[in-house]
Amino acid sequence: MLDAIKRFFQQFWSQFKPPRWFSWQTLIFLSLFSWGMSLLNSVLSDTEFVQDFLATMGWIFLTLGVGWALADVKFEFLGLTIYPGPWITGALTCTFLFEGVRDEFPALSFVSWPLISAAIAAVPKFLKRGPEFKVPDAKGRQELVILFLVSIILSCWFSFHFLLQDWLGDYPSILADRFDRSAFVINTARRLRVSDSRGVLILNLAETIVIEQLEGRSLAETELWLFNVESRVADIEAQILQRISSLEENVLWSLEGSVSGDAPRYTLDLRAVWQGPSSYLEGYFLQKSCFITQQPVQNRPAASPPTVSQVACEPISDLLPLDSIPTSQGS
Amino acid sequence: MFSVMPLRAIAFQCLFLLLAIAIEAAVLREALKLPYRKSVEYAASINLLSTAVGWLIFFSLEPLVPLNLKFQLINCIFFDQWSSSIAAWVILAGFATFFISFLVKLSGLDLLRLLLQDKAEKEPEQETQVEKSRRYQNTVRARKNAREGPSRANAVLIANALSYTAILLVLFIRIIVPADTRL
Repeated sequence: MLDAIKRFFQQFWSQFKPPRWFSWQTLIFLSLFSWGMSLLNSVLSDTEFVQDFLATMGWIFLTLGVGWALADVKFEFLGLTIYPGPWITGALTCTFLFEGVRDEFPALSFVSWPLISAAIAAVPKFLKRGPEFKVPDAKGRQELVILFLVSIILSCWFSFHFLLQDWLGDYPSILADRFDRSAFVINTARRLRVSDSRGVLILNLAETIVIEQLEGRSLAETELWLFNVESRVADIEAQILQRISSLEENVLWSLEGSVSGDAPRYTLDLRAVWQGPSSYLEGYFLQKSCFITQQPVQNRPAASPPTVSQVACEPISDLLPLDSIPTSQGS
Repeated sequence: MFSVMPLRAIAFQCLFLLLAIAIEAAVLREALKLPYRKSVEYAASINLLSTAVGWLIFFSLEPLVPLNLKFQLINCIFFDQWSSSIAAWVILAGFATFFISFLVKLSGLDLLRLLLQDKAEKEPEQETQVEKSRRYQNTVRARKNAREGPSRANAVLIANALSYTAILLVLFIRIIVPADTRL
C-alpha cells in the first residue's frame, strides 16, 4: 500500500517536475504551495493576516506563472494573430486586484480588464535583451496605438453594459417589455415575464387592500366606497407606494380604478399604469378586474344587514397599450 | 445580470468602424499618397480614437442629462422609440458629432505622425535645413504648409464626410427593413 502511494507520487513528480528551476511550472507549484499553506493556516490557527498574505502570494505566483506559460501561445483568426496570454493574465490580475470591492463596484474589474491586459501585452515591446528598457520602433508604436485604442473601446463597451444594468436596477419594469426593435440591446432571457413588471406587485397589493376594505361590508357602505372610487384608489396608491421598495421608477407608476355595472353587482377595474419608457408609444397598463357581489348572511344577528359584499378578482391581464383604456361607465 | 446585453450596439459599432476604416483608408491613400498598409493603419487609428473619445464624452455627459431626457434616452436605447421632442436633440448631436469627430481625427492624425516619426528620419532633415539659407527655408516651409496642411485637413474632412454618409445609409436601410427581419 505504502509502495503504491510512493510510486504514485514518483510518477506524479516525473510528470509535472519543472524542467528547470527558473520556469513557469515552478511558479505554479509555488502558488499551489502558498495556497496549501494558507489553507493549513486557516485550519490550524486563526491568524487572518498570515492567511491573507499567503493567499495573495498564491495569486501573484499563479498570475506570473500563467502569464509566462501563455507567453508563446497564439492562434490565427481571420488573418489576425491573437495572443490569448495577456487577456488571461489580465483577467487574473483584475480578479485579484478588485476582489475586495466586487460587491460594491462589480463593473470595476470588467472595465479595467481590457486596459490592464493591453498594458501587460505592451510590456514586452518596451524590453530588449538584458532585460533593458527600449523605445519601440515606429511599427511597434503603431501597433501599441491601435492596441490601446481597441482596449479603451472594449472597456467602454463593458461600461455601457453596466450603465444599462444600473438603469435596469432603477427601472426594473422595463424588463417586462419587448426589446425586439432596439438597435442596442438584446434580451437573452427566453421568454418575457409579465411578472417582471412591478405593476403586478402593485395590483396584487391593491387587490388585498380592496378586499380588506370591502369584504363583509353592507351594500350601502360598498356603494359609498365605489362612488368615491377615485379618492379611494388614490389612497390605496399612496399606501402601496409606501409599502413597496422605493425605486426611482415608482414615480412612473400610477394606480387607477373605474367602476361599472349596476346594483347589486359591480365590477371594479384596477389599472396599474406605466408612463415610463416602453415599446408602447403612449405607455401601457396592466389590469385586474374585481367582481363585487352581494352574499346573503348566514344566521345573521338582528342588527346586521341582510347581505354583505364579496370580492373576487381575476388574474392580471397582459401588457395593454395605454390608448385602449375603455371609457369608464359611471358608478 | 447578463441577460440583457448591448450586443446589437457592439455589432453595429464594429460594422460602422470597419466601414469607416475602409472608406477613410482609401481616401487618405489617394489624398496623402500613402502606401496601402500605412493608410489602413492611419484610418484605423483615427477612427478608433474618435470612437473612444465619443464614448468618453457620452459617459461624462450621461450623469448630467435631466430626468426627462434620460427617459427619452432609455426609450431610444431599449425600444427604438424616437419622440419628436428628442428629434431636435438628435439632429443637433449629429452635427456636433460630425464636427467633433473631424477635429479629433485631424488632431489624431497629427499626433500619430508625431508619434511615429523616427529620430533617424528627422535628423538628416534638420541638418540639411541648417545648411539652407533662412529665406529659402521659409519659402520651402510656406510651400510645404500650402501643399500639405490644407490638403491633409481636406482629406480628413472628405474621408469623414464619406464615412458618415455610408453609416447614415446603413442606418437608413435599417429603418426601411421591417422590424421582424432585423438583426
